Amino acid sequence: MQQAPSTMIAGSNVHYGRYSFRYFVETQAELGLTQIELWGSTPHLWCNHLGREEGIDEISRLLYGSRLAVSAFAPRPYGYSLFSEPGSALREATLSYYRKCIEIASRLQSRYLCLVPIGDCADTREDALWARCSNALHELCKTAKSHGVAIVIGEASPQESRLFSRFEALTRLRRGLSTSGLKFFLDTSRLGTHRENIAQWFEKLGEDIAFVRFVDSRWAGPRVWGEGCLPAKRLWLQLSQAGYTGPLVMHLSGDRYQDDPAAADRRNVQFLKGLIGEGK
Amino acid sequence: MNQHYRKYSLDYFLECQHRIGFESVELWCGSPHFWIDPQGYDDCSAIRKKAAARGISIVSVTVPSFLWQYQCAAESGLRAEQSFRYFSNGIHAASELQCKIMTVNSGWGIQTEPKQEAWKRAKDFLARLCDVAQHEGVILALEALRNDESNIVNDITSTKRMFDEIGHPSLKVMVDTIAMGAAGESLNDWFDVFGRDLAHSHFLDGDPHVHNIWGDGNYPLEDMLQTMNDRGYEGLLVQEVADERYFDDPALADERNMAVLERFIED
Repeated sequence: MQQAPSTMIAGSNVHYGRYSFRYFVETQAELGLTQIELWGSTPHLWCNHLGREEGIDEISRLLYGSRLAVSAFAPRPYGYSLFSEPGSALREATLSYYRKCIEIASRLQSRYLCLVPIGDCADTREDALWARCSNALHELCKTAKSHGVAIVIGEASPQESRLFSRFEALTRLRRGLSTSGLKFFLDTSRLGTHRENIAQWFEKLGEDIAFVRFVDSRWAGPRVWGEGCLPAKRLWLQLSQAGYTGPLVMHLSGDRYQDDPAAADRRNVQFLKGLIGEGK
Repeated sequence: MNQHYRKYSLDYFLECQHRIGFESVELWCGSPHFWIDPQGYDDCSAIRKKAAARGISIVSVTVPSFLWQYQCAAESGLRAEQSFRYFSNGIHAASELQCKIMTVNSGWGIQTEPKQEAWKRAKDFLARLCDVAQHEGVILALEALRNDESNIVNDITSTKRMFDEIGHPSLKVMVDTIAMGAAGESLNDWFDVFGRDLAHSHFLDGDPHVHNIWGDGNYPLEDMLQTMNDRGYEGLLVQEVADERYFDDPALADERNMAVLERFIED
């Protein structure tokens, strides 16, 4: 199996919501990580659709001090929705919010703004939902391009979205927005629930795969490696065979690791270093 | 309550409530049903008319604090100011909807700060909000959260302390039977401490941590209703069905819930 550097391992603050950003950064530095996916959410990073923001400079300063790069910026979607009705207050707010997030991604020197289309109404026609989401992404991709940022889309869980919990939705979106610079991220916890495989992803989306959220999982959500049901060695082999050398993000969303996120990261990093060949 | 209808439109929710037989609802002011932010909110008169056309009264409101960036113990000046405008707009909306009650919680702090700092932020924030509520003739019903949701007000003791420290005529207390059970407390405990100041409830079947419909948890419904009657409770029994497993088919959840509850309803 191909050896990979542990610099591929990327942290995430998504499970540090009960701790300060400083605590998160110190933990990542202790673990020897060099990059993170930044989850843009309270209490760490605050911004809204009215153009208000707080915490960005402090975040930049802390990251710089610990030599941590932002490989992707994933703003929390809150109640905003890419499926919102054109002309509605929610639609305007959603576009304004993500435009603000694009600007923040650029300031944090993140190449990617990470979105998961969630919140489609079950009693709205699918073609209308599709058009709303597709048009919103088209607009946001244009703004992102002008800031040197690419929008990166990932799969939702079936609980989060009816439309975007299918791989086919991503490939259809890619066809529709082929010149927009839209990219995609692969989340191994979704592969587990959607009965997809890595080869299929690389065959269909290939070079447009910006990064990978590499986590174990069970039906209830992502887990630290060794605590879920995914075949780590097999998935890593498939990624290696596909020639993937980008970030492996430890995105542990949900409540499970909120009490002691640092302990979860230590277990995960130890496992991953062993898996990719630097842990012995 | 419409919280578990978030994958459907407000119209669908109202249609379902009418069909199932609910005559009064608490409006969860979250998207996609209701727009509210620090600058403004949806046309309340249109929503009230829409509900009334189906024989439904909106009797109380909850302005979401987990859905958006706003909460009552926000950490800094800007966040607190935006949060204050947001929740104040909730009170104005409640007034325009002709609701007497808006639910509030204390918000939450983080583990890497002294607890008293988050406590003080929440107390000062809620006290200011009470002044707005008084002006609008709305009662704020303070709800305890579970201790995994908030490290400020999460049981009877902390609710009582916050209630007493604020000591405002526009502040009352509500019991959420899920937070109650998670804290190992009973309805009698809440009535013993708050008596007539217990003005509102989120009345669900707990196990105890999950917001279940009645019949999906382990609570003694008949005993709990008897307690409500014995204590002279005249407030609402709001069905805040909040567990994600009900989001796909909220109408079915409400039908099953009503099937259990209607055995105890007298006209």
